[in-house]
Amino acid sequence: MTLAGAISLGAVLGALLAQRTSLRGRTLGALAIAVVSVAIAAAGVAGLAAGLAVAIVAPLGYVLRRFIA
Amino acid sequence: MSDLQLWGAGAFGAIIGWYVYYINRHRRDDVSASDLVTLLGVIGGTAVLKLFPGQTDLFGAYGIGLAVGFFGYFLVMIFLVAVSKNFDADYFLDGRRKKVDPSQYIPTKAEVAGQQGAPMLAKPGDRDGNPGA
Repeated sequence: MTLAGAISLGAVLGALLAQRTSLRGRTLGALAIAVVSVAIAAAGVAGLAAGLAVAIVAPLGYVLRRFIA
Repeated sequence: MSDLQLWGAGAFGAIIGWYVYYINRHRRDDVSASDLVTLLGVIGGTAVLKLFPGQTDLFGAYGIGLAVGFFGYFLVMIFLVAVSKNFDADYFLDGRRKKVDPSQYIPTKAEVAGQQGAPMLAKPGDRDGNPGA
């Protein structure tokens, strides 16, 4: 349950990051910095799986938004 | 650790997750980094860690509940859009919707908050818009 919770938390944080990154302008650098910092924070709190989930979900969500927008 | 504690942590996480999506959806201003920091503080801040220590089953249940509430909100929206005659998938892309039927209207936020009477309640001479007895 600890692992599932860590992955779930990381997925929520990653989705939030992707949602809150503006599609206008050059925000890729800002997103990268945010992903790294949030992933490190999540890994510190909930374990490595949470950090990995953030690092996977956030870029995927952002690409999906760019693709459908 | 009892099942009740785990279910409680999960339910707590579900409520937080639901409201995080709700707040994120109804934000008025442009995206800013400070909003994100605030949200992260709500989701995984010291208050939550004090309730559910990190890397424990309690925190795991909280995380699962958080995801259920957060993504559940989105799934409920998809369901409601699917069953509604006034919205379709374009609503998720650019907020597109059909015009309101002339016989209906959408109340303003002030009307919903009770700060202003709805037009249909107003009577001549009644400045507050109270329907009266």
